[in-house]
Amino acid sequence: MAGKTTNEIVKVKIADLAVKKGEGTLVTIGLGSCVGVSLYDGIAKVGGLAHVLLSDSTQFSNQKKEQNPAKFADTALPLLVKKMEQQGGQKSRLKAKIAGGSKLFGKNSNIIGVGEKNIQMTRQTLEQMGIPVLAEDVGGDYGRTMKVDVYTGDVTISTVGRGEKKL
Amino acid sequence: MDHEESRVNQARMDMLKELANIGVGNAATSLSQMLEEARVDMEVPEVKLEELQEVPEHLGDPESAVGGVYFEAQSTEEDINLVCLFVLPLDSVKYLILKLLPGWASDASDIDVSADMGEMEISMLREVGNIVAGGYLSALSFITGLTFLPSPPQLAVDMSGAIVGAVIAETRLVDDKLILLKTTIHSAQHSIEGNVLILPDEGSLERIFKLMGVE
Amino acid sequence: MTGGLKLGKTVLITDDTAFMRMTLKNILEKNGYEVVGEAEDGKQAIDLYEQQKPALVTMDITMPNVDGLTAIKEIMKKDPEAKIIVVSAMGQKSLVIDALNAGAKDFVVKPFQPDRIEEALQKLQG
Repeated sequence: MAGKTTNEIVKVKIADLAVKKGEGTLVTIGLGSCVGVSLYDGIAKVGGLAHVLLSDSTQFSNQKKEQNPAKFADTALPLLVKKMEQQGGQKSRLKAKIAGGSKLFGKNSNIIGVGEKNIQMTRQTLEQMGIPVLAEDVGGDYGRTMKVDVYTGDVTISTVGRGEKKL
Repeated sequence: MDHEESRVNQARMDMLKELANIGVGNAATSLSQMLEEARVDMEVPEVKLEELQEVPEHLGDPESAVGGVYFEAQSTEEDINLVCLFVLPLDSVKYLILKLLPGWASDASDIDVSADMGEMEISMLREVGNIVAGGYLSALSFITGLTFLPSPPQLAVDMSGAIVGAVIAETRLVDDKLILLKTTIHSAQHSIEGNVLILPDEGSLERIFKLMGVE
Repeated sequence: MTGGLKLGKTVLITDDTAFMRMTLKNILEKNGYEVVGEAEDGKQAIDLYEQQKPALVTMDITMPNVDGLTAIKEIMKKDPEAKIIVVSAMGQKSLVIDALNAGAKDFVVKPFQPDRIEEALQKLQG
């Protein structure tokens, strides 16, 4: 139904994820070292967006408590896929676009930052799940906001002072 | 009772509030001296056990551009580590530049605040952050009896959400709820406002409570 | 050596922040001192002290590479007569004690009024 938009905006917060079907926008603000992962099924028009904070849940598996899976790249993405399947998305049709993983602080150090680890684990997890990455806007030393148009699958990345980009 | 919530009782929150109180008091005094202003006011410190997802919103609109000064601090005697973030809205950054670097610009409209600011402006903001840090670390030292040393401060000018997210990631905290120590300072005469967020890492918080005598 | 150099009134400024070095330089020059070197960390301070042999040193504590306390100890080792004033945002008691024990002659906590620096300078001249 081209031209019909509800303009409903679903906000995805840090260490969080959400799925939307049909139309509307998924948005996550403030990707610093975090990585935003958009998964999209263009046939069923199901969009999913995750805002991942850390890379590896297994580093914390000795904790007594259950970890929030949305926090880590390795657990957030399978969970996102599952939720998309519940709304009619099919894993085999999913395409990914990713953004973020910057180094806002510690720019002068050579130590691999959280951001870089997040990017690597995200790519690795997507590859393991057989989901291709169509586009990325990652790295650098600045923050990003990521918006997914659920009707078209278009992703818009905006920044402070560096303009906008479409993925 | 949830594991996290049982650790956080009234006595502990009160001690943290006192820590925040002394810290922000020191910071306000320092700022009033630097700005040569008669009054720099502080709001009642907020100490809260907050959901991780809600933390960025606590420091203002996550999409708004701010200046953030970040540093880590460690005790020289015990295994206590924390990260701290001092956040200033851009208007406040401009005011600091006008006031502390006189002659750098004729008025606020001349000033371009961005990640590409000049060396001296960046340096000045880092120093303000350093001084504010000194105030909080003195407070922590006073309460725990330990000495705390900070890393050299770093500055980022970017959207608030991204800065806060980056700092949260650095804490290596595993909880889904974080204890937030948030203090706000206002200069009475001008619109300078700053928020300070302090996040001790997991084990450190327990050690701090022990030293404060609140188990 | 430059012309206009006054005996006993040369200073080496040490601080990792350009803003603070500028602030201190202004105050010192106003008081008739000549800044003969600016160090950004403890290592530079040690090297510049050797080269310039300033009458006075201002030293920050929190700096990358080599910190202020280490630099104080090194400089005092080479020159027990060295006159070092600490200028730091860290006013915790144990740090002040450590600095003074290491050989610093005074400890100024940031932020400071210019006259606090002047006071410290006068103390050393006496």
